[in-house]
Amino acid sequence: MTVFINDISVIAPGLVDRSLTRSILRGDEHWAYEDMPPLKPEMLPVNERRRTTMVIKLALECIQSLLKDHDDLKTVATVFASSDGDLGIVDKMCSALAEENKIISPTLFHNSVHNAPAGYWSIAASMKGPSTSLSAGDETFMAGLQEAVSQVEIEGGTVFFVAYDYPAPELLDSCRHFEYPLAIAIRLSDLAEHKVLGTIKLDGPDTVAKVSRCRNVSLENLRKASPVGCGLPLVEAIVRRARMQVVIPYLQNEAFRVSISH
Amino acid sequence: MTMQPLAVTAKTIVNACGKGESAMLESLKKNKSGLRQQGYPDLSFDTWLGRVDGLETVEIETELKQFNCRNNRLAYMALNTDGFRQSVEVAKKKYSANRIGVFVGTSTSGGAETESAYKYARQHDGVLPVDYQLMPTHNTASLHNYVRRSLGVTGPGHAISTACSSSAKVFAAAYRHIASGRCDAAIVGGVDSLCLSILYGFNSLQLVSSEICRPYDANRNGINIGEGAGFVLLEPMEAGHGKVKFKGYGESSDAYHMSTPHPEGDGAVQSMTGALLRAGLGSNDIEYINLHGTATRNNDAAEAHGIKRVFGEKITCSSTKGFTGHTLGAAGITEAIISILSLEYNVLPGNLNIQHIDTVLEVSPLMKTQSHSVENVMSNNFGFGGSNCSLIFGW
Repeated sequence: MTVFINDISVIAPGLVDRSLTRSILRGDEHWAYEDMPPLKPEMLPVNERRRTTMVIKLALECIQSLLKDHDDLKTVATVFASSDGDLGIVDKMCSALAEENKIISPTLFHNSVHNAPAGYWSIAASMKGPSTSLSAGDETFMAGLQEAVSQVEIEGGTVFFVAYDYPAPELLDSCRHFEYPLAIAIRLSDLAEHKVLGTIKLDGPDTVAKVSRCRNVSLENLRKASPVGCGLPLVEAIVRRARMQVVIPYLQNEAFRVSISH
Repeated sequence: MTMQPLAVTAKTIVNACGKGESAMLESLKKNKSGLRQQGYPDLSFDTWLGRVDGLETVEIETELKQFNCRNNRLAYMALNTDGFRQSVEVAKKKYSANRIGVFVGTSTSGGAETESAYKYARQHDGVLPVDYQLMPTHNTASLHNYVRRSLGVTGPGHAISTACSSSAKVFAAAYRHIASGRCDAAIVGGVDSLCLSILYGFNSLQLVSSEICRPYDANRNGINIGEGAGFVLLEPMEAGHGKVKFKGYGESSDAYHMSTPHPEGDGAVQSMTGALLRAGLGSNDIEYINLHGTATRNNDAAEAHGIKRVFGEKITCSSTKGFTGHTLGAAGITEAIISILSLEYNVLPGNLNIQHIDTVLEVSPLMKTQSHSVENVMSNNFGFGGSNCSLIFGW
């Protein structure tokens, strides 16, 4: 079966404006760090938004632009991939539990599940289809992409894949450092839609292939900033409408070859 | 859209009822709960827990000692039970290690490690212990990484973390990877272990009972938290002559509330009907349902609504959380294995601790374990974030 890439979305510092992001991914402009404006994913009702964290907002801001008017909200599936989930919440919970009275708020607790962004998204978009939230540590991007592509191949229909990771608060940053927040979302379907960007094929694991770098070298720091970064060469290839193979890190130091065509 | 069934060729289970399927079976047959009224270090309120004895002193492989944490010690205990490790060795020879996938579910991973590290930091000028490592213990994928290395299996996979449906959804992920040719066989499983985040977190939602949990009882007042581990080896049908089959799965999202299920059980209906569709079965073909049945007011009411809508009021069902407690990220695999045991040994588990049937629910669980042979069974798991999964096993 052919799996089509019908849309992509990227959110990071300096990659918030959609058309500028496209230009940078095409290689027409340089990427430079810029403080991210406060993210306010407008699909999330204000009262829900107030309860959410930066991680949840990052994932939702990225995935929401994939939604189309004609989507069947009962069947579209989602795959949320994040290596570390919400380290800000881990920090808050563990700090509270180190105190004598150990007070945790109900909101903090229900936000602590790895699938919190997926839960908020399903509520925001009224999406009732299957949803998976997963992690494979540093190789999370490829594991998530593989799950999402397998879902299109086996179940058919449309799958929204979003990968995201967000820097840890100070204490945990010494154990797990992400230089910048980054989220990448890809709309995958068994049908080519109006503005189809290309097709994707997972060729398979490779023990010797060298992991792809960004063609736009100014993006290299962002690529190395978190486990999501290894997806940037892939979205560069998609936006450039290139026909090429991208190599993405996979489990236990293997790599995985992914072909983009159009 | 029916699925090609997979054979369940090996399994292992550890929880408060004991180590291995014989301990689980004996508890089921004798209607004997593994829950105990007991404390836990730094726990300041009364509850019953489904605690696994001896976890503090288990030693995992020296060469994998960076993965040492309560969650991975529980995984190690399960991998070394019921001959599971040996069955995986046989499968490795048959398929080769890189053609076997690993899909595991966990909710809190090795969270107790970070909790202890923060407690230490509070007493030591805000400095974490030198030997504390986040990645191999508490990262969501720690269990996945550990299990792969412990078994020497190198196929595709990941850790799924969708709260209480985590280790049910691993069956669906494994099927998709096998059906798409990314691996030939798969190890699916789940592990969750006690930690303060979960105990105090559920308590903040006023969902923890100070008494033994009573799923589907008229006066049910909350969950008992348990810990548990389980793994299943799934192989193509030709390998599994005479073995129980994994026949169907359904997944859905409530899109309703982060920690309260849809009151009419809409999401539950969608996951149960999805599973029937994939198995090519009708609602009359299911002879027993292992309920999610957590013993909270809302969960049991919503699930009962959903079940009535799909199966009517007469369906034979029970929650086994009165035996094991709610093992959260391990609930899916624990109850999948109990469902498989019910097929293999003709044991339909009783729903422990019911004192007063809740007539409002209109679904009547089995009060005591019965001996009865069945053809097809369903297992339900519903989690926070409105994440639902239903599985079907049968002959």
